[in-house]
Amino acid sequence: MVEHPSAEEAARALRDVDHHRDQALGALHGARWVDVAFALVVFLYLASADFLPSAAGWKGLALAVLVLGYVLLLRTRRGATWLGHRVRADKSAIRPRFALGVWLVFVVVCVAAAFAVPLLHVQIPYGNTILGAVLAIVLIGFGQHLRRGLAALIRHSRSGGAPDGHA
Amino acid sequence: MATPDLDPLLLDPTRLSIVALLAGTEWAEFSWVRDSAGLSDSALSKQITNLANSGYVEVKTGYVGKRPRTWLNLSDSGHHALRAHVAALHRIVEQSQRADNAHRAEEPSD
Repeated sequence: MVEHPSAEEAARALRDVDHHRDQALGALHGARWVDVAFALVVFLYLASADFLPSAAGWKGLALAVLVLGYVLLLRTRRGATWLGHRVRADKSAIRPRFALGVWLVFVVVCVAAAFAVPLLHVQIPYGNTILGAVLAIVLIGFGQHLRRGLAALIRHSRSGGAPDGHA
Repeated sequence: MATPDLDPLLLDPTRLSIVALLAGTEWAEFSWVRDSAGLSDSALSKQITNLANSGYVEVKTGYVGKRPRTWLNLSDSGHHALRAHVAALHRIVEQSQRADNAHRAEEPSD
């Protein structure tokens, strides 16, 4: 670009800035093996209710430790890189109202599921194992698509912001 | 036309794209920036050196396992420079639009 860009050159540069700023959202995913490992953990956690009912006491603790370890690893550059993340998107660019909306939907779905399951009164043999297998398949098969969808939603939510990296 | 807030360093489209890429991140691996900007290792390295010398980009190196890694992030002054540069670009576009509108408003009276 020349020292005094024309209006067309300035407009093109602004479009490029917007485009490049949003590129980080396209790289939210980690390594494939992490998805597979998480799917395996979810399956084993749910299947243990059918095959190891006595493990109820410590399996929750084991899951909490795993999730905490994952979150702590993600917070460091080396840990996140080890988990396959090449970039960490700037979360401050996400509008608080959008983040709150996503959390609200998540909490409402969890609470609704927690209330709905006991009301069903349906006893499916190895129901937990089947549920674990379904969730694991969803996580492996659609995990990347879900993250891509979330990235598109974030992109859409901040499309009205200023194209300066701090919308 | 005087545009004092335009940053001479960011007038280069390659450097502007690198800074814009990093503006959307807390940090990014060198290889991700290289692939996203469509540059070679040496071309990106040269631009990063320029940006780091101006204090716009911070570079950290380390190992993950046995593999060396380089992480980049935009410094506060880099964020500030990009904001000022983008605002100046907006002003250029707006000035042009105002001039166009004024020109169109004058036409019917001719």
